[in-house]
Amino acid sequence: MSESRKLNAGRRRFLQDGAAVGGAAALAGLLPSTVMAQGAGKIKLGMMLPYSGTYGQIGVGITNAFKLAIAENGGKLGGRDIEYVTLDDESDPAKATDNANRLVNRDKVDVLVGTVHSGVQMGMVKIARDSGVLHIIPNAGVAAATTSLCAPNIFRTSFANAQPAYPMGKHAVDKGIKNVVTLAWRYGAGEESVEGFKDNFVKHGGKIVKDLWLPFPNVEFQALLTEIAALKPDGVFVFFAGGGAAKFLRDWQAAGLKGKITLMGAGFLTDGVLEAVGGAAEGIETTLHYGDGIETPKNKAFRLAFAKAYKMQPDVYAVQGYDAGLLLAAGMKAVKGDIGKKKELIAAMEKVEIDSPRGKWRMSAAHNPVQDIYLRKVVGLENKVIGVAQRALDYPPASLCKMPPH
Amino acid sequence: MSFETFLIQLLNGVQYGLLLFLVASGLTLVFGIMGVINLAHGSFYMVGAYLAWSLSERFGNLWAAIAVGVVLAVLLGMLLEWLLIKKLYTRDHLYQVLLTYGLILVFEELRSVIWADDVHGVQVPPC
Repeated sequence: MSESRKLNAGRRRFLQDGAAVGGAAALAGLLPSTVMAQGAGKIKLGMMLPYSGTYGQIGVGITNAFKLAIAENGGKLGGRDIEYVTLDDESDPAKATDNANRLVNRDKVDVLVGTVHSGVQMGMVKIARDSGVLHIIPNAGVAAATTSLCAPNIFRTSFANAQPAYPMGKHAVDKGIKNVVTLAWRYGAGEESVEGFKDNFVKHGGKIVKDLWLPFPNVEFQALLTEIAALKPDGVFVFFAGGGAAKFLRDWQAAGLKGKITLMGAGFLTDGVLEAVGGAAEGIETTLHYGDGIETPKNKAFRLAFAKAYKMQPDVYAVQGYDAGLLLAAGMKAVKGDIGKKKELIAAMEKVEIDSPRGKWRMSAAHNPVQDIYLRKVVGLENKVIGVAQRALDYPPASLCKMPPH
Repeated sequence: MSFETFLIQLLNGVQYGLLLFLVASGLTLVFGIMGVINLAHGSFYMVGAYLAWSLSERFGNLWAAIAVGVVLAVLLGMLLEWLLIKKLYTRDHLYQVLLTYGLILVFEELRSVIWADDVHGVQVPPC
């Protein structure tokens, strides 16, 4: 009995101390931070990206390429110096709104740049819509950011998940593939990618035999590969990326399906994994809005400059980060550095033609890139660009975004 | 579904079940013989898997990785026993559950810190 009373006393004390600490912390949050002058002074860029964990390298690549674009622009934006505020979002959707809130409301950044993971992106989009801060997305392909949740202050320089997959639908029909089984992780990127392929494939007369799913990031493919072998489709469309894609490609070959059934996917299936899979990916065709080997002076110059500055090879993610820098630089030039002129800044960013390593492109009315999608084939350790699968693709269509007049 | 496919899927299921049995049998042994409920048993399995992967990358040879990995895993087990588990032999099972549950959380975070969160595969050596 006395023990329980002692426990109660200890618990009460703990709660009191906890409340005191909590109260102090809340008060500290209310203290006014320094007010930034809008016309002069540095431009504050909030870089909220993954700098650790599975997407850590991607976050670093995007930031490096972004800074390269700024450096090529004279190191300033609209004539003003830049202050970077970086934040590692750890690809954790649970912390996303808190992190974005911190950058926008506590650190008072002028522009919010990020991120890679679509789950985190949803939190950032919410904060961007609530606060009106200029928000540039250098990777996450979640469709909602430029459809149902689009806003005048939100721009994307990468792709929408369904966009690179869409042209593969027609390409499959052109290759004589009549029926297809789809297989993907059941999460935003997987679902939207498969949707994009199916939309175009069925539109051109293709038949979907079955949709197979497995939870993200599960990699137990055995039972599903057996089912695919039993269904005997002409082709299989998949969405996997990173380590999961590497394992899938190896398992696909080990199951004896390579060469018997045509394997297709968006470029993420074979980007960055070719060293790990050996010959298992040989000959696989994918569609993506970039290919390392694009034979243009701009791409060659970019790849050289990036490798020289950062001692690493750029990839599609770096290109997206680079274009984010180009976009912001062009916008800020048009308003001569006065970031307070939101309306004019947004109008300039909507009109600018980005001279990107992937080719020239513009924003759609929904603020998503209208861009060429390339057809690539795995040859050795390279994703060789063998053609253009579709030019100037605006997908998901900008009509899905209802933006207020601005 | 054809009979052939059914048999293959049955085989897939049995193979995966045997894998799970390997893990579960260790847990049962520890509980039956030592009287210790080790909820962190799955974490040991995870440590073994990650050692196998990271060592095989380092040595370039799966057999060397297995040999060294086994030694390292045994050492880890001995360290945990001496440090923590030894104190709980005579105590109620609930305390063992509490401690080993905490170990699960610690191991999970350590794994994330040391080896990151990506998916990895170990190459099967050619026959």
